[in-house]
Amino acid sequence: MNPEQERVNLFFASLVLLLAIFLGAFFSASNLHPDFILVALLVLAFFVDFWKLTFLILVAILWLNWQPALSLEMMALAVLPALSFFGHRFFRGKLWLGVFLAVFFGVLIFYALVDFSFLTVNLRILLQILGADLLFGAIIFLFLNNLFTST
Amino acid sequence: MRKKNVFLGILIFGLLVLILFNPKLGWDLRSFLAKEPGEETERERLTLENESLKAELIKLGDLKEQLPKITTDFTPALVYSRYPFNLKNEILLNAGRGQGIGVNQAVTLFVKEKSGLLKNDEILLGRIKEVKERTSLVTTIFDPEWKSEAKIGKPGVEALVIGGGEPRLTLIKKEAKIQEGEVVYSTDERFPYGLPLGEVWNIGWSKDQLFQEADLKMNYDWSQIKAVMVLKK
Repeated sequence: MNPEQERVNLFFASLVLLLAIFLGAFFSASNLHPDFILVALLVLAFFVDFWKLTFLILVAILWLNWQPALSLEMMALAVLPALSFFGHRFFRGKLWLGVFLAVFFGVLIFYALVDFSFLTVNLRILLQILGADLLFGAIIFLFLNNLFTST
Repeated sequence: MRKKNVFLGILIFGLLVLILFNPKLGWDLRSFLAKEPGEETERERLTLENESLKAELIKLGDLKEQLPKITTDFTPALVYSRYPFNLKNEILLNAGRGQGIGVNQAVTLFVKEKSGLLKNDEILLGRIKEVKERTSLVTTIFDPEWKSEAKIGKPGVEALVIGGGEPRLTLIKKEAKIQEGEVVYSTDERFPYGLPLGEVWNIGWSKDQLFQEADLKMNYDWSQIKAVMVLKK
């Protein structure tokens, strides 16, 4: 396991996810749905071990799943942070770059998997979402990285 | 360390059980925290039925010139949860096969507006996409994949409704005379004829200038919808 992935305990990781959940709920009231929960999971994958990440993914699925059957969206929500977790090792020393790429491509791959046409037809909305997601990802990353660098 | 792992293992197992066997907990949690409508209470059910009956009374007493009247049986249902991402616009209802709901049935909303042509009427909100025993999934008119046939106003100008965050009326003939505020009603064969959809707004031209286009204006906020009616065919 990479040293970064042992730094954040379950309490702080859950706090970050809760923040994403509350912010997501706040924005959804205005019909805008930034993918804060997906972003939180993608970033947290760089800071927690596999089992903590599994726990967080399951909490996210329980919260987000809007229908009885498991959907492609929920499977993507589980798989993408896991890929982010395993891809973490290639960015030692350049964690910020890894987080940026994970969020950028994670969100794009999510939409491509669920509905590819969204990437081309709704470009304006996609760019807005990507901007909000990257900003949120950067805030979480800075929080987690600065808070736990000294430990 | 081992104790911590056992604790985490139990949490993971518990969450898996909840997701697979009791997903309703997640919907209730969202309802509670996001102030979305949750599980129905007897009072809510009675209120819903009362509103539906009022709607029927108004329909009988207030026949409008522009719209053909619809007299279909319906099942009242409450909204459990909503699609949480940007790609689709779906809602989950608390009624399913057990309540006689089937795929492609029209889902309507009772609008209690005090102004506009569509005051006190039921409006087409979407269609049933999937049905389970106790729940059903609705694709709404705000879904980007939504396409349905419609007519505008008294002359019955044909149009194609394209769904999305801001639904559009497209393929309106160049020579057709339409005005802002005219009622748009569904002529799609999947739904009862004449269900209102909204009003014409912001009339303009298509990119190729071959057709007219317009916004479909609706006097309700879909994110605040708590109860709907599923029309029986």
